[in-house]
Amino acid sequence: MIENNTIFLIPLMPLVGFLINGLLGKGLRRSTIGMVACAMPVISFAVALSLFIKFSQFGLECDLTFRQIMIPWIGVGSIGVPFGFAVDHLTIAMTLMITGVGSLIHIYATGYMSHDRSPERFFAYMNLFMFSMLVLVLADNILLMFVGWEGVGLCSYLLIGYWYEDILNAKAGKKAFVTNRVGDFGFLLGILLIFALMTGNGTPSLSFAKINEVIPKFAPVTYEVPVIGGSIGAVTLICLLLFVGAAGKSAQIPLYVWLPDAMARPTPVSALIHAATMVTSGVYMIARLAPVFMASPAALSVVATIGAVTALFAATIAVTQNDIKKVLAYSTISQLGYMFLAMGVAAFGAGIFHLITHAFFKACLFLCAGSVMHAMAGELDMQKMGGLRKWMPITFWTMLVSTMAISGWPLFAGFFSKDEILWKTLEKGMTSQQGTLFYVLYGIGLLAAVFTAFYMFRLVVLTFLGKPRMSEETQKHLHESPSSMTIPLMILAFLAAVGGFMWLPGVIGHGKFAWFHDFLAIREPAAHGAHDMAGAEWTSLALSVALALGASGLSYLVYTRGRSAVEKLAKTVYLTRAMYRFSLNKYWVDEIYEAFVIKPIYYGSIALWLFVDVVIIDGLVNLAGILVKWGSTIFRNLQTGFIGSYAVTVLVGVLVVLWYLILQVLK
Amino acid sequence: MGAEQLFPTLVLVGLVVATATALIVISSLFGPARRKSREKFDTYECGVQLLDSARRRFSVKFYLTALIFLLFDIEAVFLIPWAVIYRKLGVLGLFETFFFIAVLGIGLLYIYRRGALEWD
Amino acid sequence: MEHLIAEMKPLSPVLIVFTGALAALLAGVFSKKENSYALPYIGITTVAFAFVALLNYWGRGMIWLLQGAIRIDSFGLYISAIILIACLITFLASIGYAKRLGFEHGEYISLLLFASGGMMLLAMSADLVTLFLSLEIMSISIYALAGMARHRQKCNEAALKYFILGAFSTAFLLFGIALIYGATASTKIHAIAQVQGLKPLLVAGLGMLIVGFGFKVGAAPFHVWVPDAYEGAPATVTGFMAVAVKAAGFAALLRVILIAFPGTWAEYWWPVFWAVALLTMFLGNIIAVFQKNVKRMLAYSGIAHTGYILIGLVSLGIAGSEPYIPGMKALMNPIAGGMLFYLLAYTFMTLGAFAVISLAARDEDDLETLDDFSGLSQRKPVVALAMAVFLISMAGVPPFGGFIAKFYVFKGAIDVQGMLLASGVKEYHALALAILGIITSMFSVYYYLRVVWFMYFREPLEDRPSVAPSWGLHFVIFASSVAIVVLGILPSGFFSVASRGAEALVR
Repeated sequence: MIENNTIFLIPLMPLVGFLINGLLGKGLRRSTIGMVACAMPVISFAVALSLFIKFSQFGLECDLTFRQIMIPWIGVGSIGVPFGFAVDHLTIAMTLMITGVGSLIHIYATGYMSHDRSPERFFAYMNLFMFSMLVLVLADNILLMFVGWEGVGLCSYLLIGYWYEDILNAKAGKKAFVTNRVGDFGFLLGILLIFALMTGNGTPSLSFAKINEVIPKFAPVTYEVPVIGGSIGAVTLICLLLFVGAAGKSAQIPLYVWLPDAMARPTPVSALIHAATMVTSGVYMIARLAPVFMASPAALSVVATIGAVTALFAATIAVTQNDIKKVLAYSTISQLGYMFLAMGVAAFGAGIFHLITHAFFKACLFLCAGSVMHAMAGELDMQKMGGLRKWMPITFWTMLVSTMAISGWPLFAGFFSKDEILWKTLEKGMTSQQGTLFYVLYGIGLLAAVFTAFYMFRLVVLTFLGKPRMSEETQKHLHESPSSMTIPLMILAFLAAVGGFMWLPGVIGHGKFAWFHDFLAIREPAAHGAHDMAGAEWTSLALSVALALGASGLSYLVYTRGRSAVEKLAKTVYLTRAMYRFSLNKYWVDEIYEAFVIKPIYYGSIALWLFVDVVIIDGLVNLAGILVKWGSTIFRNLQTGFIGSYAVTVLVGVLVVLWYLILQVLK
Repeated sequence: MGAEQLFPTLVLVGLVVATATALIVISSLFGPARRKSREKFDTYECGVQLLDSARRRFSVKFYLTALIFLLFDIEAVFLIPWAVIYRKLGVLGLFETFFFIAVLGIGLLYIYRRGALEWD
Repeated sequence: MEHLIAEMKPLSPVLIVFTGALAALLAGVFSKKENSYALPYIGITTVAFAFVALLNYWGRGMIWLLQGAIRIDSFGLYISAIILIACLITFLASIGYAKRLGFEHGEYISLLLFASGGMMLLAMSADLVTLFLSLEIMSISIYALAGMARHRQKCNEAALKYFILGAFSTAFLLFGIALIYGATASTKIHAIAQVQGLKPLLVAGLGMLIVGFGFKVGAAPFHVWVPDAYEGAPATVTGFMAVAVKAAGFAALLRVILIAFPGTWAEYWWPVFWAVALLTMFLGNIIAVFQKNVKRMLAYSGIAHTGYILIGLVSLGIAGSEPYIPGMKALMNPIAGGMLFYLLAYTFMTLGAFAVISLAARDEDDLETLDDFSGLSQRKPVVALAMAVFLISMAGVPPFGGFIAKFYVFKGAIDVQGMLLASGVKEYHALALAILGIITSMFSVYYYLRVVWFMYFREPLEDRPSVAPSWGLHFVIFASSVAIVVLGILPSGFFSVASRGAEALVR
């Protein structure tokens, strides 16, 4: 632990930006608002960079933590929770990503939102989001993290419903918020359980360092499960509760439904919140509590399984969507699934690596989609696009690069990170006792990768290649976006292309070109047996390269040449038609939730409302109200305004007090 | 605790009541007999006719003057104890009294500037 | 000479305030009328200097002065700081308002400073005679202040009522002091506890003191003056009365009760305060429900807050009367700290609210009704938001300071109850008081939120001329709302300061 006094600047700057734009924004000029909003994350980035340099001065392998305790925050009973920040390797990686990508997206947004009615509100929310996200990441204890966690949820809600005049947006915001509440409830229960165990153990602290040290010791403790019977480990229960929170925030099965709907928001928001930062906070939380999760193999298996299944499930839906942002939303869910798969196989470093490369290429993809929308006057349907390459070359090329990255083309960022996850899964399968599960998960991961390459190239082909399918009128207005938008695109595309070289696979780099791995690997169990498995790793690599390239090529061929054939396949042949409809309708999950969860709760609430609320509670409240009114009328008349009556009141009081006291003395 | 502890209190209460009663009784016994005529209720019994009722508005200046007089009069009284033992108090006492008088002086200055000493 | 200076140096905060008062008095009569806008700045400067002098003595332990008549300790300093803050806020809020109501005189500034000085002395006095004298310095200044806007009938009425009832109650206080002196032959607060004097006289004196202080803090049934005086006095003065007089009154009450009647003496006084607190909370909150005048409503709400603070005193009494229960002593300092924290939070919310009232009000006699707040959110959105913060904080809703304050007080009572039950004492007075306090606090939500409702959901009335508020008023409203939020979010630091303040009374 090394004290450092500059950490607080990182979250402070966006907060300052929020205050300036939020309080004074109405009176500021548009350019000033944008300038303030962009400058703040950039300063934060600079501060984070200086911290990173400090890390490298100590040597990148050196495990150390910078800590800054601002003030004592909550002191209740034996527990004292400070308002403090802690920065270690994991945190600084996340912070650099958040502030870096965040700054680029802010810059992009100044162009994108240039015609909006109330930019000060938008940028105030964006800055507030940055603040909350940075608090989440930098928090020294889990309670402060929860504050950031709720803060990002709030900002997400505000920004999804930013164009609140449209009822659909407002509804999407509500859906996101309510779904997140379900997850947050689990998270909170997890925190409370941790709190209970920590105080029970005589180490009343909620700091991550202490939690990671103490909680794993509770692994042998089990609780009886009432009603169902059986027992569950204390640590497993904690991990599962925390994972419910992570699943809500990071859009995993079964709580992913809010993310696609949330695409109603301005695109920079999608890129910032729902691709690069907020949705990854669940992954970050698990990585932060890695030792706790490591203590519960059962919980890890659940995480891995949910992650892999989500990856495939969302990818199959993405294949048939026509809304450009919906495709990207499902793609995000799918990629997040990969990250959870990595967490589940205890490849925490690999998961974070993918988190960061994903931030590069997914932010770029979303921003490209935004650029397309900007040109197409808000059009989202890919069926009405095509041939945009001619008008928007920069957008096309940056999008293509990111697509290759996400599809796992060799040497692009996504290739290295995704492959690392798949390889770790396979390795786990080969080394662990319950190997079968991980072999299956590996297979699912590979399959999802195939789908990923397929739908991403479908997106690029439908949007940029082929003949233009939009109206003449629209074609006239087509234009490349301004440089404030294209420059961030180019930077992100560059990062998406080369970001993978931070961490080359063991078989290629022989552990030499993997500083990012070294940087994060502290949290992982030591990788062993790299030599004897080199063959397997090569095979895995080759397999994913072949599948990625093959799926991309197939997609290209299908959507440039054979669109009619595909449509025929989707409409006529029974099996494929069923699959097509399943995918297009997103497996009717929303409808199922509506019928089995929302409706029962809704009608149940109405019943409760009519009986418990209206009859009992309102009845009681009204009764109390009537009594108070009645009392008020009586007592009010005692206040006559005559001094004489006042004096008598005081005198009566005096006599009663004295009478009582004298009686007491005589007793 | 017994009632005997309350005895001094009871004595005090008794004394207060007794004194009050005694005053009234004695004055009614030994005072001049009351004849309820109009003159008996006049302010000055000994003949001077009242010009007017006393229950009317006086100029606020009377009150002001009376108040100021009272104030400075009482403050001046404080000087007497000091004067009695000023040798014992020495320089310190002298200083303190100067301070006291200075505050009074500020008060006087204020009253003067506010115009409270002018009748018109 | 050196001796005198050494004696006087720790008293410098009070002396600075009194000097400032004299200076303001002279400046008022010697300056031209068009320069009278500068007068509040004399007050502001004085308070600033006094505050610096005050901070100088924080954490220096106890200092006895003037043959034991004054004790400068953390408690007195804490209360003095609250009083100075209240005074400063009142000055700032008065800029402009005083001129509008026609009392922008040197006397106004001077009286406020005299009152503050008296209060500080009250909070520091360790002798009943000094205590009484400083109480009178405070009271007489406040009587005059209440009638400051002398062209208004209501204002005169308020001042006169306050004066007569105040004199009435002071008589009880003085009689109480006399009885105590009679019983113990001492007026030193610290000496009284040691005397095994005539108990009946002493207890009767205690009762009289309770009445006298109860009147100053506005506890039922000695609260009768509060509604009329608060309603009639100018808004800034009302704010000062509500906050500073209450803080000073509580300071004297706590010091006398806790130091002169500690330990098992509490068996006598806590039932009295129990009943008084209950009556105060119920009367204050219930009558407030129907008030149309916001100032009068806040007067009743102020009464109710007195009741909540008294819960802390009752808890202290119950804890003190059961000294053999282990762990009970350790509870006492946090409870007293909670009461002091409550006073701090109350300072900001009340002064802020009265500052907003002084802005929303019209100049005629029928002032400050709920209608004046109609649609305030449209006319002055920031001010309306601040007012909502003050009111919601008073109602005890997180994340504002008022909530934390109530939390500490109620928690104290429940802790004491828990300790009692744990050691097998089956009496539920503390718990009952806490629960009844929470119930009455529920009533209060109604009338607080009604103002918010008027501000946000009613159309503004046409005939309300809008007053251009001064920078001081704006600053006060802004700073108070920030303070309330900070107290609500980061209470720990302030609470530890308050607990240190309470250390001088209960350890």
